[in-house]
Amino acid sequence: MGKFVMPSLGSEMIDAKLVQWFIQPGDKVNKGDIIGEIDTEKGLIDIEIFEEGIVTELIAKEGETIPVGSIMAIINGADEKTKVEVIETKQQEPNGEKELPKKNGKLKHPHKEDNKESTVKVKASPLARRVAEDLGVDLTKVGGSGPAGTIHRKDVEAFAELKKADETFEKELEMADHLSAADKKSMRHSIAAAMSRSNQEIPHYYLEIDIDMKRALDWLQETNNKRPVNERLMPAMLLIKTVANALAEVPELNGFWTDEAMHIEEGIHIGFAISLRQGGLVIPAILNADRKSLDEIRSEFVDMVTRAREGHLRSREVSSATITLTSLGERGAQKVYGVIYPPQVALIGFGKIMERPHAVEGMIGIRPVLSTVLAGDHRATDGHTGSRFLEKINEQLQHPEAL
Amino acid sequence: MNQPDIESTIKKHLHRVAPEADLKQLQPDDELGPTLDIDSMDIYTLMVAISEELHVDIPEEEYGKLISLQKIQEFLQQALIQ
Repeated sequence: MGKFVMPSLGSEMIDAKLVQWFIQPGDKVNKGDIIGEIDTEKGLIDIEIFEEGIVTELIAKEGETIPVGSIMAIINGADEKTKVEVIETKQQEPNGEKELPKKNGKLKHPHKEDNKESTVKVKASPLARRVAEDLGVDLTKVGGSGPAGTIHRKDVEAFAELKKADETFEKELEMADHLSAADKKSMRHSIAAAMSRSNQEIPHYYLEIDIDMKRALDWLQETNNKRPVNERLMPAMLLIKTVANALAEVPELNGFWTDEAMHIEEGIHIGFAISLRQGGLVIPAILNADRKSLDEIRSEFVDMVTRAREGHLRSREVSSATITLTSLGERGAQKVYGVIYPPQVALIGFGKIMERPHAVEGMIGIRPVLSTVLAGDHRATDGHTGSRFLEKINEQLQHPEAL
Repeated sequence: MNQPDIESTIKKHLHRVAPEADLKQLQPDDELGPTLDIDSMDIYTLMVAISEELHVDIPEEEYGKLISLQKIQEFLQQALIQ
């Protein structure tokens, strides 16, 4: 029997509010399933489960604030399926059903009634009626493309697709409302706590290097020329991969300073700072980035940025980073001297890529230059290690085709 | 697709990437990034969404030039004729 407890998403996290469960007693869950949503100082986070089994009991109630480490649900191992559970499931079901119409009520009820009417008024092919019923489409709202406005199957399907898009949009709006002023305050509070602790405890050292980005950008352009717009690479994706590869060679910067000692982590999980429009920032991580291809990193990056802004990051993503990367992008400042996120021991900051005079092979030319600053924890490493790491990053970016 | 339709398609997707931005205040030649405070990732999301909805490919060499509402609109109008 497994107990699912409130996960800790960072050393400063004390508790979080359960917004909703996506499971109910009797449900089967698999490793990696998203089972609920919690409201934390890092925004709304989807919580994942890391075992397989049957949900026996939901102990935490929606709307409740639960301390880190407290039991939220009981999950029975998949091999322990007992009759007791089945009975329990049946008893619990009415509860679950009550929940459903509340969430989808706006959409579901009107359709049921409208469908009855539609059979009387609307001209539609039999196939269209059947498809409409399957897809839950109200035929009175569909424009027909046939003679005298007769509705065909393709009209129904087109309408259903549009409706789905609108529903997604509605959900997005609801999500934005969720991020109330109170949530923002608690995110601010959490950033304040982590950064104050960092500044008090971590003796930072800073090293910086100017990287000539001509080759990397040329390669990027050449690669992108051959790709459709949704598969193009952005400099930030190159940087994530570069940092991961460099860490594989200089692992001393990858890990945590805990109990007065450095603990090097085997997995290289690159956390990248995403600023949120409503204020604050989140740092989700691309897990095992050194072992992923550039294209895998691209699709994960796009997916994570989208989910970060909608409030759908997963618990593992916001709690696993072994180093933080911050990139100022194409607007903004030239350099960033970062503050390390404890208990990590390094933060790598990339400024804006700028055209600057730069010496190459004895000649001064105008090159796109990227100022890169490493903030290191001097308890864990020395400048020599940091220097090697920056040099590896530079080397990687001079051979982008090998990334 | 006529001009007002193209404009409303662009604005619909702009609203998705920057829900709090006041698009009525946006002038046709305003640069989208600084005016709406959106970053390259937002622009990327916008371009992918537009290209998918209108079935238009945006070549890499055009991508960087599409910095304002007007520029995007002109590009799409051309692309949709061809």
